[in-house]
Amino acid sequence: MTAPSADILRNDVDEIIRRIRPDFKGEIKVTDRLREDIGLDSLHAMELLSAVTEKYELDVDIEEVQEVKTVGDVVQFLTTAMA
Amino acid sequence: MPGKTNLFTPILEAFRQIGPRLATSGRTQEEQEVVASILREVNRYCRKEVDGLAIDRRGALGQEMLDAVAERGWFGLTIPEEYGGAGLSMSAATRIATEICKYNGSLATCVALHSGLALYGLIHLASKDLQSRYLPEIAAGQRIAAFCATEPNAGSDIGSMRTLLYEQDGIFRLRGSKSYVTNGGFAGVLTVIASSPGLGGARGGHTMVVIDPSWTGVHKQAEENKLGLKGPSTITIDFDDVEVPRDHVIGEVSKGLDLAHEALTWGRSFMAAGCLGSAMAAVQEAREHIAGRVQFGRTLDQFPLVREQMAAAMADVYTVETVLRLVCDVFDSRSGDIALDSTVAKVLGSERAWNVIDRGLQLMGGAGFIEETGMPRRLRDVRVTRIFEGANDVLRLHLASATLGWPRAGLQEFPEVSPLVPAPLRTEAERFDEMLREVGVCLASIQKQYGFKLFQRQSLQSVMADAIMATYGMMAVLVRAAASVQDQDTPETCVELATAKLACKRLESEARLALQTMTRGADDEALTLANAVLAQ
Ligand SMILES: Cc1cc2nc3c(=O)[nH]c(=O)nc-3n(C[C@H](O)[C@H](O)[C@H](O)COP(=O)(O)OP(=O)(O)OC[C@H]3O[C@@H](n4cnc5c(N)ncnc54)[C@H](O)[C@@H]3O)c2cc1C
Repeated sequence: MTAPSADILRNDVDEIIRRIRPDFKGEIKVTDRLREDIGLDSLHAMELLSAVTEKYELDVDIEEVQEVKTVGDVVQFLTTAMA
Repeated sequence: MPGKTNLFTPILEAFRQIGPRLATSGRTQEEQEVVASILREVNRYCRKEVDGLAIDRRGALGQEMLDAVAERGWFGLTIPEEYGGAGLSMSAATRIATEICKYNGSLATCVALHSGLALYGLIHLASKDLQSRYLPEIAAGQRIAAFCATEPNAGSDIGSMRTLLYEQDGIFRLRGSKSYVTNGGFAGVLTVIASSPGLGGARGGHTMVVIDPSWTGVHKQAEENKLGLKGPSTITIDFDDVEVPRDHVIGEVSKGLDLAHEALTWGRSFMAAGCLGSAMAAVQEAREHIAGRVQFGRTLDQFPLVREQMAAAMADVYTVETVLRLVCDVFDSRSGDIALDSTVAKVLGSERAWNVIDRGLQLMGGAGFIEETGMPRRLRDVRVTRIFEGANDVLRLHLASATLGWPRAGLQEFPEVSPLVPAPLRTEAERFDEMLREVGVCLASIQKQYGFKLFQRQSLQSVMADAIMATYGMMAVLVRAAASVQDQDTPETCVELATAKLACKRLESEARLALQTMTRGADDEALTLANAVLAQ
């Protein structure tokens, strides 16, 4: 599959975050921290990464994944995984 | 994600150092003496004054009992001495919680929740100023503590809470509602976690604050009508734009969710201590019953089936006690983060306590069903321990998902235990080494095979957690028993050896069953039925 643009990835990540946290108001920024800014706990963070890897049928070796703390990290992680 | 070590290696590396410490009730000789003296008083007071039937009938511990506990200093067990408390380590304080719970779950829950979950923030994270303002009165029992996280719409998904800490004209205010607050009705100090978007530069975030329930805007609702634990109050508390002085924030603004998890970590160890006490008392009562009750011309304890069931219950109690002691030791020696260890203690403790009490009740026959024997109350009281401070089902998911962060290399090779144990435990140790190797290989291959997709395989996660917990239990039992039976041949060590062997065998069977289930894969029949009858 051809890698989607960063904008599309951002949109997908936003959409998934809003599904997990329907109460979250306002714009989601790349600098937002998953925990402090969005209120996702470790299970939610897993759900998020699981949903994005599923959507793009990515086979990710978890050992390769560095700490994912912000929305930008998630997008970066996806971009790298698809490269 | 990677980088955190697994649950086993650090303990296996310190196998010989930890073992002897698990036999003692305190960190120092002096602490052990303090514990012994408190335990004597717990036994004296509870035997004479604590009437479980009466507590349940009135649906409250009653002011007289709370005063008696305060007078004896039991609300200050975990509070540092400089503030008038006993300053006990977790190892020591949990011993007291266990002892109280042998007599009554309601009283133990009140004291243990106060000492653990509710006071963690004030004792470990609050400013000196806040500590000196509150802790002396709390240690004296003039204020009893409660912890407020759960809300009508936020239970297991605690991050979705709506109670709001906001800033208005330079003043912090709290608005919202907290449910199922243990000790709530008589609490004199509350640790509250609230959502705090915008505060401390975080867009979302949560903050932990200390609230005095006498402040304007705090409203306590009516008592819940519960299945068990009738003694400690359980209520909803509403906060109507309560003004919160800034210095009542605990820790950093916006980091409250992490702090709440830390507090829960502490709390779960205290809960496991209570579970242990309930299970011990059930075993004791059932033993007395089967020794006296004659059927078919023999006392019940002469029947092999009864004897074996009793032995299994004793081995399970030993497992819970040992896991708890190990977790407390890791905490007290500051040798590691106990978030996952205390989860193991809580889940194993609550489930084994439930099973042991149920088995004890069964062995007592019809008498076990009669209130006056105390067994129905034990069963009712212990039931909630599988739900509160994290439903066990959800804790299993947390435990399994954490394994994704364990470095794979560490899962391929573990320090061996069999060369470290005395001869009588060699077989069990070899089995443990083999089991841990298998569990490690299995976890590593799941890591690789599923990655984040593991999230969608909840039943797989659940059995993974079972395998981890049972293997952890085996490890704990070996650490302790290896030290106790070393070069000793007393009647006590013979009993301990037999107990440890049976405990290992039972844990090994559980781990093996979990491994088989893991490798067998999805439960297709269950999925088919669920998909046919439940909304998609
Ligand atoms: C007597 C009592 C005292 C309490 N004391 C306190 C207290 O002092 N302070 C406090 O803050 N709270 C307290 N609680 C609340 C307690 O901690 C919560 O009840 C508990 O965390 C579970 O939340 P819930 O009841 O909303 O259940 P839910 O979150 O609705 O979960 C119900 C069930 O659904 C399943 N489930 C939930 N999420 C998932 C998932 N992601 N995947 C799969 N299955 C899932 C589990 O089987 C779970 O048991 C108390 C509760 C009781 C009953």
